[in-house]
Amino acid sequence: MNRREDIVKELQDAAPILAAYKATESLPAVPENYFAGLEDSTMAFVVAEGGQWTATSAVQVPERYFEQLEDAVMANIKAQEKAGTSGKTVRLSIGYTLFARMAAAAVLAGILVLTIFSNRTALPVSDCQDGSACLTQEEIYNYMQQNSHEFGVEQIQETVAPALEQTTTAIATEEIQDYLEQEQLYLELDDASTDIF
Amino acid sequence: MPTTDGEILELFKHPDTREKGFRLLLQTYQERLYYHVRRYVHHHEDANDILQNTFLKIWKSLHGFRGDAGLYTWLYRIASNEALSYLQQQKKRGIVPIDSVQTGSSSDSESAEKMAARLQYALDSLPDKQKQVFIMRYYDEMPYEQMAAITDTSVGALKASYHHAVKKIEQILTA
Repeated sequence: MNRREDIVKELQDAAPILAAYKATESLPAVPENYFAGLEDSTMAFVVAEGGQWTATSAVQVPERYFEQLEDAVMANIKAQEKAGTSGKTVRLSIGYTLFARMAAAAVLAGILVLTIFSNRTALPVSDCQDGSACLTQEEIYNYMQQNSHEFGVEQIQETVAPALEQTTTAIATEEIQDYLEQEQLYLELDDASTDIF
Repeated sequence: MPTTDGEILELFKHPDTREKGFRLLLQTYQERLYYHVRRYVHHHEDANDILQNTFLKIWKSLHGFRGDAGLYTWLYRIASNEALSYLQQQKKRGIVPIDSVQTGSSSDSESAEKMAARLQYALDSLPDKQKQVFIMRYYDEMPYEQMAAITDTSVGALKASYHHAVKKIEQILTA
């Protein structure tokens, strides 16, 4: 049984009228000589719209780059492994570590400030019961933002936690759907059509 | 002598023979791709627009074709997605086909042309993805495995989708 027979048989059980239609199926009408001129008209369109393809249109790589890539990568891996088994551990410099901590603290502080001002959440006021100082949360946040390099990540996380808990950032499902619908054409077909295989 | 996909791709690789390779691709696949996209729309002009855009995309991206699937499968996927994209654009602009044939029982004397038009009308009632599945199976007689490769959907889901589409169309044709 060939594929067409399979399909008709499949239809006969579920949709007998459609199966009958399948038997009379014909190709749609096409203007006379359409296919004879299609190649030239398509080439003209493609060149006009897409430009003449030249070697510079594609990303260029040095000659024989890919032929040599495998060996180069393997040599690099072996060299790294050899260095790793020699027992010498290279520690990141203190300056780099400090910089990373400062960057993380700054990012967290930035998120905090954005969260506060975009949502206009009322900040809790300190009750001064710990005896250290009677500062409002806002004053603490401002200080931490300006001096973020002085605080660790955990300290900042503890401080921002109360504000984050009070933040209301709910987005309506309809808003999400509207956005996806608006952006759908840009999100799916163009690239998906060519990048899968 | 029939052209192989390998020849097309080899010719397309080199700037001097790129156009020759692309022309061979057109000669080999233009009709099949035309009839595929033609099923999505009522008018030849719409099919022609879709086809031209399809070939433009192919021209721009063929150098990146990795050959994991057959060339025709890859081309078909681009054409199919281009047709769906075109339908979505038409809907956003509020454009609906104006020559839709009204439903009603078919008679024995009904011409094949009229039956095709009625079927096209019924097809318009399907959601886009279901329409794609129906076209692949009913018109293009594609095996489910190939459909799965093109749509990135499981065979089971495709069978279910096709079954729903068939039932819905049957219902419209018998109304």
